Amino acid sequence: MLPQYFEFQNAVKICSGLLALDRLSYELRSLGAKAPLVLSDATLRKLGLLDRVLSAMSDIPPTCVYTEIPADSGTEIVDHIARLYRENECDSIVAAGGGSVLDTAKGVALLIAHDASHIKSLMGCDTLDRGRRVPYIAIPTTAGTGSEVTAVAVVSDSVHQVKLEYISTHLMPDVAILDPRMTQSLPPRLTASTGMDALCHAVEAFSSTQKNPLSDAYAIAAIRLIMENLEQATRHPNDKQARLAMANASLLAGSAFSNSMVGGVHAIGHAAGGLCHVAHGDAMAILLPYVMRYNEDCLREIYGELLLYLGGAELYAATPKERRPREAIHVIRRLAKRLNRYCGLPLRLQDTGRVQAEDLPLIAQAAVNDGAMIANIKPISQKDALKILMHAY
Amino acid sequence: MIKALICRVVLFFLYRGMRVLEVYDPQLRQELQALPQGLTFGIRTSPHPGSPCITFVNGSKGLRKGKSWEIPHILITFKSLSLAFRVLTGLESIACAYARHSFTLQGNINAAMGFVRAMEITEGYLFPAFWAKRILKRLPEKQIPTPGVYLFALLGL
Ligand SMILES: [Fe+2]
Repeated sequence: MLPQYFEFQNAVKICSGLLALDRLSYELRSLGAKAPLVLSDATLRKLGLLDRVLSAMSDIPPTCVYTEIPADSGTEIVDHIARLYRENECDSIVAAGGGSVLDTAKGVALLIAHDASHIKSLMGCDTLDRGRRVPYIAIPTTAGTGSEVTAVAVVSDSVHQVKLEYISTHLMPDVAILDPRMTQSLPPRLTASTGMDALCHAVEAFSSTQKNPLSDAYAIAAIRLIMENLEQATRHPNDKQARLAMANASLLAGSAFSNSMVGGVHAIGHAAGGLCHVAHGDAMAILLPYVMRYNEDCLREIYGELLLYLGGAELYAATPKERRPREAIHVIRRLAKRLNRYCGLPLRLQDTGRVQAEDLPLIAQAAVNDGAMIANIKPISQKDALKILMHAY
Repeated sequence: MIKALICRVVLFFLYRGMRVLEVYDPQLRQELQALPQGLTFGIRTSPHPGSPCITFVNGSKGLRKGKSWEIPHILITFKSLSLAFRVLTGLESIACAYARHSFTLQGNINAAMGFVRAMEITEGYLFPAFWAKRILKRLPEKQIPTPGVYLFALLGL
């Protein structure tokens, strides 16, 4: 159904596929970049992926390279890198990494664009104007967050143990480079976990309060690619076709949720991540079926339709209409179980080794204050969140 | 003009109503108590300087009105008066207005969530049930009848 009003934006240029990374210098030049700051993390440096990026920049070498970004990057790191950017007189950003690196880069770009020193001073949703232009090229090395096309940045506040959300279309990078070589070395366990994050983005985007025909189209395309390629990419890491398909799926799902928001799975997952440091993808893989079960009575039609994309035409046709919503949840659960067998993807919160039963009430409390909760069609109170968590524990 | 006037009246009852319910509704009280003391929350019905606005202060002795010239910690600014009008008259929920990008939110989104829930509880009292049901995901269990809220709000109790 067409909503009374909706907005959709995806202004990111997408370079996807064969030798995509080799176009980096050209893209930098066309953005007017002369002194790029390169952001990445220590693992990618060790794996040699950073070198690959740097060699693709031989025409426009970086002025500064920073690779100390941790998995859960925080406000202090963003502030620190912005200082480096200024000290080295950089004029653009190239970020290669997972969600944490790409979101850190967004935070840095935001600080530079607004001549600010502390990322916490810029918190909000849709409040900022474009500010100074900071060319930003994102090169994802995981296929999950979709950060390369989203208008969202999540940065940890280590003092208050919460994840801060920044929402602005000005956070979107100028260019996203999807090169299968950049995700090939992602270990099976991470491939599965980040892939489930992408699936969660697509499912939540398709069932949130802000869903619209464009975000639906992106979400559906993402779900199909994930269902066809996630297991293959997990079991056969060198399958370039599957890797590229997953990179595209992640991007499509990212654009879908960036325009229609995520819901309860992310709200509870962000809280579990903030308080207990559960990896985001793991939290998504665990919580998705449980939150869907909770939402099922309000979203029967939408979940029923999802079965077509999750399970394919044959399963959809063979399943009676009233059983389709539940079957859609079962398809996801079965996928998670297979991934668990291949690579140990956790199926319950206690399997992560990071959550204790006594943490659950605190997670529930933090979850209802997460911005994503507002987009969940069925209301989730603190009590409801606790029940979901207890089921998922 | 008339829309601005109506918005002003609704903001008045929203503030006074919330103060009344802080006494009578334990759920609303809990929401406000969970927020940091001294937190200020503002609603501007449009970016235009003279448009109706209000600032709430989560004070140690309960909710009070803040100074309109101070920038609050959390500020909701509707993109136009007509968009604010829809929310304040219950034609659209805050969640729906958020989905439609009808306002901008300055400050910590997490801290805003509790205040938004408190506003929704108040709306559940101020609007007739059939009206509130259309916009609210969940209606509050009323601890005081709606006319009582209006009466105490008018009397400033
Ligand atoms: Fe996610």
